[in-house]
Amino acid sequence: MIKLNGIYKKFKDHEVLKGIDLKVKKGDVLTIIGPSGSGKTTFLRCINFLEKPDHGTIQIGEKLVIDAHKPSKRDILQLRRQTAMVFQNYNLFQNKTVLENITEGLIVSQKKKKSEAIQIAESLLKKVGLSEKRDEFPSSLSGGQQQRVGIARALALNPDVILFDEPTSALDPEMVGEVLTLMKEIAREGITMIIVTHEIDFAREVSNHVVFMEGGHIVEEGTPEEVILHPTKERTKQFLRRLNKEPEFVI
Amino acid sequence: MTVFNIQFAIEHFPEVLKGVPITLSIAAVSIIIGSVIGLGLALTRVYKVPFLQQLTIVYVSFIRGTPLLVQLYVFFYGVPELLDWVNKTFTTTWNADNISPMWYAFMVYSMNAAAYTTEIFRAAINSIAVGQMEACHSVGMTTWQGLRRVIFPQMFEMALPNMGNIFINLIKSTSLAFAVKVVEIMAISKMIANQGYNFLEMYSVATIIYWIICLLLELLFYYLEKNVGKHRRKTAAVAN
Ligand SMILES: Nc1ncnc2c1ncn2[C@@H]1O[C@H](COP(=O)(O)OP(=O)(O)O)[C@@H](O)[C@H]1O
Ligand SMILES: [Mg+2]
Repeated sequence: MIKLNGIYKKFKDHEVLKGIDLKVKKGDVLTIIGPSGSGKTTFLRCINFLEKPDHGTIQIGEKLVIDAHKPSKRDILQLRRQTAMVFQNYNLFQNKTVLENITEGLIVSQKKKKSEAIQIAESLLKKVGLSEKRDEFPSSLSGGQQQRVGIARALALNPDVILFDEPTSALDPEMVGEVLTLMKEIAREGITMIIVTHEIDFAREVSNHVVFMEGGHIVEEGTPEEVILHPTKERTKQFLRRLNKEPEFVI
Repeated sequence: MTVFNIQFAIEHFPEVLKGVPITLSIAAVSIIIGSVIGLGLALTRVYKVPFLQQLTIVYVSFIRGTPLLVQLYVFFYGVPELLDWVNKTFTTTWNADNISPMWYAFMVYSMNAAAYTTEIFRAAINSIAVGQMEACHSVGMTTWQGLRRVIFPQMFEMALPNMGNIFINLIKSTSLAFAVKVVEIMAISKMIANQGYNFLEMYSVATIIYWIICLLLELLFYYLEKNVGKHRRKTAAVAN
């Protein structure tokens, strides 16, 4: 379980997150949608403290509660060890092979034995269909392949939640499918995911909880039915209309 | 004044060669110590550490803005004075006469190497995408682990060509170390020349030795650049 309370963040004078509360249960697939600039990325990055919120608390599991006012280094490290992230532009370690990208966190942060880490990495590479790229460097892979490695790297850590920041928006259109398919597969396995995405159809299909964010607020949240198919707030309706992806069978 | 005495030059060539290990060790020791210090200084700038950052800026500017020969003299005459003062103040018995000239050379050349590598490392780290460190954090590494395992290796690879230049410049600038009584290539040449006024001959010998050393080093660095990260480029080429 992840509980976020009153997450507030401003950059200089610009209030980007104006106090966000959110609860994510184990096994939830939460998608966050909203116009660009609404603070989705900032919010996601606050969850693993890549961005330090100005106020608010983050609770993960039963034990770990972090107050943005007095976070200890140990707690932040612990938080990061219970979460994983898939980045928009992959951020694979450029000086490591595909296999090493996956084993790195296992060996360095989780102190697993190298042989065990390699075993985990190999089975995940098989899962994402990249076993034959094991010893290549990221620069030799396509965007879609790099993002699949990014997902394998996150999965390997066996985290309480995986955070996805628009994982397909840097990809060429023909590679979007392979990544979305993989993410659907993971979602079915009951892994807790928080996904920022512009892929509304994907969000509707994969998630059980949708959040619509605008201007640093959560405007509307609920099931995909509620938020995407039958939005009640005018802002949400406007956004979905503008996306030009309004499902054709809306009544 | 006689014509160029080539016989004399050839005869004394081996003697000058005895200075080569001294020259190389000054350059090697100072690039190693200098890189370690330079890396630390570069980090104070990258992470904008208050106070230390400003200190680094002043230090780099000072070293780069003053002649090496002057720095050598300042240390050579300054350190004994400093020790005198320390001895008087704390009633210790340090003796500056026991400091070998090599130590002055190590100090001053290391400080120089540190200043130059600081700038190179800083530029290299800044050119690595911030996402690399974020990815390290996201898998639960500490900042130090991320630096060691992901940032520094990429940084060194990027800095390698410039490091080669620094090293070659260090070799050439060791020819000033005779000023603090280090017996290196230049000092030996001078001493031999002094005996019979064969300056042109001996300085020509020194020139050739410096040139050969630098040529070999250029080859070495060329080879290193080709081979560090070679595998990565090769696989990248295959994909394109
Ligand atoms: N590091 C930063 N410094 C200053 N402003 C930022 C920073 N990161 C994001 N912002 C600003 O915060 C706002 C929200 O950005 P972001 O969270 O990336 O939105 P989204 O992901 O919804 O597009 C934007 O106006 C952006 O310019
Ligand atoms: Mg974003």
